[in-house]
Amino acid sequence: MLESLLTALGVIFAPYHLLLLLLGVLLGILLGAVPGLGGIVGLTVVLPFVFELSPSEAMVLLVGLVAVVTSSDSIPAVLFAVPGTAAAQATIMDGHPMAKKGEAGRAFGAIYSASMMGGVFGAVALLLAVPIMRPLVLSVGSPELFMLGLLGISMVGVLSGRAPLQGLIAGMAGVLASMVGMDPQTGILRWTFGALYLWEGLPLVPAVMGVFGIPEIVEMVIRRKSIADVPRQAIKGVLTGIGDTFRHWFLVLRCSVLGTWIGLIPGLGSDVVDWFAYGHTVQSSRPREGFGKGDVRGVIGPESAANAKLGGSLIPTIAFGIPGSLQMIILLGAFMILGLRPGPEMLTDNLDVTFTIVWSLVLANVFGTLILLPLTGQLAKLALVRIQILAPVIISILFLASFLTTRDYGDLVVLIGFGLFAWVMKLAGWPRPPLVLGLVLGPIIGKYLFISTHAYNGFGWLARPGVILLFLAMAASVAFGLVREKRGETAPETRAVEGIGGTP
Amino acid sequence: MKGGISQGLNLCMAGLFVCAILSAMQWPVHSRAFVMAIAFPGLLLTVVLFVRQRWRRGTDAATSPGLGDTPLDADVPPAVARRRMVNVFAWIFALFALVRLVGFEIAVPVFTFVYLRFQAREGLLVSGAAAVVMVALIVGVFNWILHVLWPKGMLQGWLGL
Repeated sequence: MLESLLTALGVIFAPYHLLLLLLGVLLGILLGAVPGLGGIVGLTVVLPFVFELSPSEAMVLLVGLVAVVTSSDSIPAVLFAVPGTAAAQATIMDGHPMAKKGEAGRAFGAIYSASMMGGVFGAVALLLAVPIMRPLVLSVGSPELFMLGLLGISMVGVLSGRAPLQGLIAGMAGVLASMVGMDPQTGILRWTFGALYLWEGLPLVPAVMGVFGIPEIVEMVIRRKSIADVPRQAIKGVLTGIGDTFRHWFLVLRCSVLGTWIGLIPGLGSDVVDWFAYGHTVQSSRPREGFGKGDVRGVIGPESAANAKLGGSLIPTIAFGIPGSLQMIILLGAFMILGLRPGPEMLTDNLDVTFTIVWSLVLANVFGTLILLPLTGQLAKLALVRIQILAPVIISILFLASFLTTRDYGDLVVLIGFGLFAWVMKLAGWPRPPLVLGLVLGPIIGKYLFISTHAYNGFGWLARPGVILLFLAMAASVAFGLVREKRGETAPETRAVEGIGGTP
Repeated sequence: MKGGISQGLNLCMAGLFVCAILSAMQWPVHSRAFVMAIAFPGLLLTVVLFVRQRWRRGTDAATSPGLGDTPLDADVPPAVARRRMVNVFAWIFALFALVRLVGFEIAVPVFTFVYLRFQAREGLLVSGAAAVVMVALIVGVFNWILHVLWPKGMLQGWLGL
């Protein structure tokens, strides 16, 4: 096994392989930085070229591409509060306020270093887990997935700051909004108002861009200043951000484990990973008053989890041919094109390809960071450009990115509709993250609750050990937060993460 | 003012939950159950919030600056903030109308140029350069590299182009 590992390392350092890896990384960075594109678009663009490549060459290109998308997607999230991909939603919470404080450089330094560590952790997890992961993956059924959805919903309290009641209401409204469309279980059309566009449900990307992007741009245009309120000298160094990541190494480790675990479980999707990590970061950190106002830990946690997720999601894809996301489905398609069969063969006959994937993941994350870090200083300067110049560009990109979701004008209506609604929420002082969390988790909860109750002909699934374990974790998480508040570890007037997603 | 908006929003949410409950009543039990499980507690929470807002109206306004205070704070007079808010939303709706009319490939560069030239009062050079960048993004990145085909606008349809 060690021999195969070293052979794969030698293969990946061959000039042609390195070139392909760099090409993939550069493409991935571009696709992540432009909102609305992302790894799925990249994979579909690159897939036709896979026919011309050997399995190891193809894997280097494909893995290099998808590995760094979740690093560069934070660029628009931090600067403009527009997530590059769904995996950067929670990065907005503290990343954008950091940019407003003139700390965009520090945020990027922390994000890229945390992303790299998370990505490398995911690769190591992939390396170690493939032979032993089968029982764990198979032990997670619909009841456990339902409980994981509930665990995510329990974070509404954390994301609501001083307005928990408003947060709960917004979260429930988000869950209701997620039910729009055809009920996959009964075929009933729910609140589609005769529009064919709504049969598939409300698309998440335009909704999230509306909830975060539109209110931020409206607010900045009203204030008529640059994104950063402070002069150029106040832009902190990238090195500070990297130092922050090393200082919070245990947080990076915890969130990387979380990200790998979420990636490992088919059915949860990449939309939830950063919210879980952000919720965990806020819950487990002290002091908490800085969250939502530009706390560097608020970007370190989600970014390390988002990059670690890829390693996790590759485990069931390679080991059992179970793709956990659309991205993995396309990757599985590439496996088929190349004549690779996921399963035991990947651990015997094609072990060298599996190890090439592992090394590609490690090197892509390192290369991605090395390419992005020198650009950080220039990117951070965007925060100092007058918003009047940036506004039409940002609004146009919001429109372009939203339209790419389903290529229907309805996407633009969703963007503007959610934007107006979120603006009213912002004016009223209601927290917006729970609305998005409800949208993301609603379908997961509904689907797995239905499957669980049908499969067990009732609620017998509640006695499953995994369900009990997750329920205890959820209860412990809520109780822990309550006890800490009761002890007065944070002062009432400052404890709120009220500014989450908005301006303090 | 914020308290009023919050109460209005709460009423809207209550209306949303009521509509959800009423419409779901006509659905089969499997479709109905999940809606009810969310909408009923949601409605209850809006009532609790309404009572709390009425009860503690004075203290809420004093102690909760909220997320939305920034645009209306001392930096920008409320009347100016409102005018600018209407203005920016008008530009957003204008872009939407323009996209429907002439399609993305024309609408986005035109919007960028017109906004910068007449709203931001930038010079021809800056406005033109930004419009060119947007053309490069749409044609270069989306059309050529990613083979994204943008739909034509209604105008092109009417003219048979």
